[in-house]
Amino acid sequence: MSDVRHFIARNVASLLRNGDVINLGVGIPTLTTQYLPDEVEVLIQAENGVIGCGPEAVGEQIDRDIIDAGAKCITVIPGGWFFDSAVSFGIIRGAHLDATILGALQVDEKGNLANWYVPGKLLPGPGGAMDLVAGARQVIVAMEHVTKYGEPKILSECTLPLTAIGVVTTIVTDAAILKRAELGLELVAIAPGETIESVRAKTGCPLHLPKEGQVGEMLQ
Amino acid sequence: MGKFSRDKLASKQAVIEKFQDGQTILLGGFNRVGAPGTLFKYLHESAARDLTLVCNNCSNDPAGIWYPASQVISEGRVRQLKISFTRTNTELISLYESRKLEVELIPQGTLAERIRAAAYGLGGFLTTVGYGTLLAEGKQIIHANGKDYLLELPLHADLALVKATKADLMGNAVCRATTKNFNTIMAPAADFTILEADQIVPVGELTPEEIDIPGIFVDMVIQSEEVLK
Repeated sequence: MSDVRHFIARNVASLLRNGDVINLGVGIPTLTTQYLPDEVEVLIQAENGVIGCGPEAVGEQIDRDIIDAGAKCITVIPGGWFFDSAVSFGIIRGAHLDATILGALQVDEKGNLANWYVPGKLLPGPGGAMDLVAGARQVIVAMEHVTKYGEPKILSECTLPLTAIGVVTTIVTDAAILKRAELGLELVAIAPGETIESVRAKTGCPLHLPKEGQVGEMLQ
Repeated sequence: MGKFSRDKLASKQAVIEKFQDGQTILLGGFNRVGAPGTLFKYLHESAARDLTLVCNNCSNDPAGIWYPASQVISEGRVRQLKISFTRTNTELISLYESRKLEVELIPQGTLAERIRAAAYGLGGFLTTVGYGTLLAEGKQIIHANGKDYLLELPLHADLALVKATKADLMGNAVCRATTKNFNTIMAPAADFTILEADQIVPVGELTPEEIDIPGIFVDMVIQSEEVLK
C-alpha cells in the first residue's frame, strides 16, 4: 500500500516543472516533493496562508504559529510569505497556481471530479477543495486506480456528488497516467507490469491512445 | 460614537455582556492557529443562545482551543453553523441529522470572500467555485463574459471574535505568521469586533507598516488567557 502511494507520488513529481507554484492536498500529494529531480524547484502554497512551505518542523524549528493546511507545524523557506485567507484564495481562484495536486473518490472522462462527499457518511465539508480545483491551471489527481473493492474510480460519469465540473487535467494512478483531451481521457503512460488492455479493463470509460507517439512507461 | 479610542481594553464582564440571543458571530482562526480561545470560553460562559456561528472549522477535541465553541453548539445554543471544514468536529453529523442544528457548508475561499464582501461594502461577487455542485442549490446563476457564475452574497455579522499576536490599546494589531487566516478579514465584517491578543502594548509601539488589523475595525481588546507554548 505504502509502496503504491510512493509510486504514484514519484510519477506526479515527474510532471512538475522548475518554477511551478503548487498546492498539495493531504495524503499522496504531500509525498511528491521528495521525488522532485534536483533541477526542479517548486514553490508550495498552503491555503491557510503561506507560500514557501518547507519540510515539517522538528525540535527547535517548531513555531506553533506556522502550520500548513493539514495543521502540521512546518518550516518556511527564505523568500516565503504569509497572508490571510482572502489573499490566499485570491491566489487560488485567480489562477496564480500552476498546479493543485489532490486525491479523489471518482473522476470522469469529462474532467468532473468527486472528492468531498460520500452520501450517508460523515457530514461533509469541502474545505478549500472546490476553490482549488476551480482556480489552478492544472488539476492533477493522485489516487489509486480502483477502489479497495476493485471498482473503477475513473468513469464515464461520476456517481458521487461533484466537487467541480470539467476541471481535472491529469490523473496519476498506480496503473497509468491519463490526460484529459478533446475526446475524453488519453493514456499517456502505463505502470510496469500493466498493458493497455489491463488498464482499460479496470477503467470505467473509454481510454484513447495518443494521436502522436506511443504510450510511455511510468517511472518505477 | 466613532471607532477611535485610546483605551479599548475591556474586562471579561464587559465582553460577556456583548453576547446576546440571536446574534450572528464570526469566529477567527484556522484550526488551532489564530483561534481566540479566551473569547470562545467567554462565549461559552455567556447565556447567549439561538446563535449563528460562522467559522472555517470547529473541533470538538476536549483538549483543543475550539472546545468551548464546540460546546456552545452541542448544548443546542446554535441555530445555524456556517462552516467550511467539518471533519474536526465529530458531533456535527448527529446534531445535523437530529435536526438540532442547521448547517450551511461553504467552500473555504467563498467563505473568506463573502466575509470580505460584507467588510468592504460589496453587494456580493461572482465565482465559478461550487458551480454544478450540491452547494450551488438555491443560488442565483449569472452569465457574464461567456461564463456561468454563482452569485455569492456578503456574510455580515453582529459580532466578530478575532485573535492577534500583539495589539495596542487603540486596537491596532499584528497577526504573525499563519495566524492571519480569517482574523484580518473578520475584524472589519461585524458591527462589533472583540480582539484577543497574546500581548498588549502601548500605542505607538507597533509601527504603521506592521499592522495587520487597523484599530478602526476593533471595538474591544482583551488579554488572552491562553498559554500555549
